[in-house]
Amino acid sequence: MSDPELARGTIAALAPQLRTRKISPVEVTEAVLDRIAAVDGKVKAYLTVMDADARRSARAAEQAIIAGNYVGPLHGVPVAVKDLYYTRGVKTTAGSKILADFVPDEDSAVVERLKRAGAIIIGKANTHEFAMNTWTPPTRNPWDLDRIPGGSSGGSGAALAAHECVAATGTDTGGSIRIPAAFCGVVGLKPTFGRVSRHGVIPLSWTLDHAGPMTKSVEDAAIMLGVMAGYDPRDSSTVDIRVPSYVRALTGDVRGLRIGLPRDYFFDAVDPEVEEGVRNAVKSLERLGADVHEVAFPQLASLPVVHACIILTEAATYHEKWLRTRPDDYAPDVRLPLEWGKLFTGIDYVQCQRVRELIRQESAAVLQTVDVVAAPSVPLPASKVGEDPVTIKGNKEGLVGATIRLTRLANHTGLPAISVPCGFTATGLPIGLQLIGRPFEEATVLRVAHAYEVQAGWRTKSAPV
Amino acid sequence: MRKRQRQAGNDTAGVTRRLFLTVAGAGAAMLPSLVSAQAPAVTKDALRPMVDAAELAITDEQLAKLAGLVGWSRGELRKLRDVETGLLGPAPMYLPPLPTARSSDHE
Repeated sequence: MSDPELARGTIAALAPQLRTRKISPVEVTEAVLDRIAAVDGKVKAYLTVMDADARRSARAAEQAIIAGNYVGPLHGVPVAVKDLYYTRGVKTTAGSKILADFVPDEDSAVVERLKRAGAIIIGKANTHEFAMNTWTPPTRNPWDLDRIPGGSSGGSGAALAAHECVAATGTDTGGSIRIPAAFCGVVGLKPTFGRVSRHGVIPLSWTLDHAGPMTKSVEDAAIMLGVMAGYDPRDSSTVDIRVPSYVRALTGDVRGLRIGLPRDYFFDAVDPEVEEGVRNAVKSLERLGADVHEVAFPQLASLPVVHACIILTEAATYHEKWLRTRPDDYAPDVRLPLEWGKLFTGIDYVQCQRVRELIRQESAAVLQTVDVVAAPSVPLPASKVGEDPVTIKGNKEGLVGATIRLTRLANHTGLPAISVPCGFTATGLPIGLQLIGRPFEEATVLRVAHAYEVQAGWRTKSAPV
Repeated sequence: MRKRQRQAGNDTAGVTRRLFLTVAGAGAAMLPSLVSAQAPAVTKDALRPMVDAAELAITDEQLAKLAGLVGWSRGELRKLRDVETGLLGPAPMYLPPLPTARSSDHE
């Protein structure tokens, strides 16, 4: 019988105990596997539970630590991997019938790095089919099983909130790390474009895709990013620049840091409880010594069509052959936008990339005046399963459009952005604060998020599942 | 060249959209000989659609939904063509600028 408290641990809490052999990787792994057995029938966070592989890896980690070969804070820690990441010898389906039996013969770059850091890969977390949507069926939200976990990394978010893993990976093309992080009350970090290799990650949109960590705390996100980040010649978007110690950046001190609070767009159509939670979080940062300044993003009116054109043209290109040969193997909510992607012209696509560059320049100018921008991650709390459109302040809006409305800017600009829990609605649903930083300045984003998280203390609440 | 186009236009046989795409894909240099050999009529209408609707792998019900999305995006994209971009730029870039210090090492 395992100790259920071990499954509830964070990397930062478990690592010192693993290093000093107070607990064993085998105990932690068994605790997480027991937790999966107990709750995943309801949460449905996993597509594949790698119990045999995980137990083998845990025993190997135990032997290595006993032999004095502890390699770092992920050594012996169970990590869930989104089913978009290649895992050697383990099915990688992208949540689709198209790849139902696909078994890669290599690991993705991130999985390679995690394994090298001693992590125990515990299973493949559910994703919305090919990461194309934001609700991730059949996964449910551990805070309310009648609600969606967000997506497309909904399996990772739900597994974390239900303590079915200690840490997880996600991917983010329009918000797919930050949206489930906000809905599930966990931390999700989309790094700068080029900071983490996407080699071996099934693409949705090459110029918008990002790989990043999802965790139970900001400190854990810093630890995970430190392992995941770095140059990889197999992904030409990655850059050969120094990876700083993100954990060392977590000083708790935000005095003098400039926080940008958007006066428009990000607060134009937001659920009142979400808006209140985010504004209260910004006030907390102000009380901690940060300076708050109003900022504006006037070009964002064109972002919806720029996003649709770029992501769907690139996705339709990737899926073109399967759309011809296996159209019925896609779910309708995936097939329809892919078909839409065929209908943009070359000029449409390039002009959208040019307007995207204008938006990037405008965002860079805003971030010359402040260190981070604070905004809601998602304009509403987790919606009910099947609720589409959703209603915000009395106005109906499509679920996907609403959920990605505030996150996609960071995909188009490549800027690092984190979602950190900043409270709950009256019905007990988590709210996410989004912090967007300058290129390759994840350390500052993490520093602000961590200072807020420690001060706010939301992490003491646990999902009821 | 102008004379040849007029001759092709007199032929009543239509160019299918698929043939148009095939011809276009084969390269501009081949276009006159292919057009004259098969004598199809190239009309402006054949040049407009980018994808033959019959090739979309969706139901009529989905097509109706798609039509709304396409109508919205075409309206928005028309506005984008008038966005002031200046004489030289911007180029369609999507990479964030790099910090100056470069090294493959972790700290």
